[in-house]
Amino acid sequence: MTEFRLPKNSRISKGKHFPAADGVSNIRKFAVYRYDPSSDDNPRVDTYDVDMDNCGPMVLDALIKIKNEIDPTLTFRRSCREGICGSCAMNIDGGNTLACTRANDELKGDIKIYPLPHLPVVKDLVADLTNFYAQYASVKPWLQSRTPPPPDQERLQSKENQELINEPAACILCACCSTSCPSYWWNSDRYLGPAALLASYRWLVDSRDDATGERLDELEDPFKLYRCHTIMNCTQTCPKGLNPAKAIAETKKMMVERKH
Amino acid sequence: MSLRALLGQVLGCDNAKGATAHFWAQRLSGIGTLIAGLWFIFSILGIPGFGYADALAFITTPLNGVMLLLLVVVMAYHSNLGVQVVVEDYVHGHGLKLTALILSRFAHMFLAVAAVYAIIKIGLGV
Repeated sequence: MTEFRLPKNSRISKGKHFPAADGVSNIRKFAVYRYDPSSDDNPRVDTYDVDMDNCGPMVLDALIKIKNEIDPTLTFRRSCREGICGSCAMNIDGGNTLACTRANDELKGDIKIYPLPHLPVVKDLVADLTNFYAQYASVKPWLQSRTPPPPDQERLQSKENQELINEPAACILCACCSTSCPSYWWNSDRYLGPAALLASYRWLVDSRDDATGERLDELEDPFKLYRCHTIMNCTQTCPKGLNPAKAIAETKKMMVERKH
Repeated sequence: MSLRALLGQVLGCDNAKGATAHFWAQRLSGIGTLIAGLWFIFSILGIPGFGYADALAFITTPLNGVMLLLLVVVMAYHSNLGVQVVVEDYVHGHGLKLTALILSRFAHMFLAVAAVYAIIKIGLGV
């Protein structure tokens, strides 16, 4: 049956407090989830007092400051710091988003930071995305065409056709949407989740792809596609402003339309 | 511990097929339940009283009898499909899930048949 409490070794205890240096006036508290797999300790939430007069505007800036100046053991992923790589996806103040594009000023009170929900935690804010990537690979996110390309030019795309794929192709695979979806929490072993389904839709509506039938056949399953119950958390949380819920609804429409 | 590759695991959950038929039936029976349900609410509000004789007169009217039959059949079917989704969502042990699905289907069939039997018996006065 579904478990509504965390397993014993996952329950979160109170952690350490790292006070600011004397004389610092503009302090913001960051409560950060900590878990170290090399110790037998349960996860804990450490609190860091950060000097905001000497800190960048984004949550990622604060995390980097904490790692550089307060606690070098804090572990998180980050790379581009401009919302295009998806590495710093985490749960900030109760919602999944990118630490590099979420401003500290937008958040009220203490800032609570947890890893993406309902994934195995590798360390601290780093979640294990192996299953997520395998699901992405399973939708064959590449062009499948039996039509030979023109010998002297690339496969052309009209402006209208390109507009169909502009939005779904802008997904950065940060996993914010999939890990915000309760249906994905309960059935991530069989439900593909909004990110993989958005990627699938991106190829379903690509005018150059010839595998629409096979792609829809692959989704003709009670779990892969139809575990989406239109909860809409995916669309609400997407840090790129995309709409995976609509892409899933359009895919369901394509499934019904080809049967009638 | 399984060393099977994750892509194999994901692809190994082969398509069970027929999912779109289930999805479509759920939508259609939902619309049917809504229409028949609204009819039922407005009809009940329109009857003169709630005594035995009033109920008997209501059910023995042919159109009411037919609409009641439609309501219970469509509602039971819709509920059966909906409960199946809820069980698949939340019950994860394979044996337990299958048992719950079978029990749910039998219970819905029993309720639908019992309701149909009662409406026909009263409607035809047999």
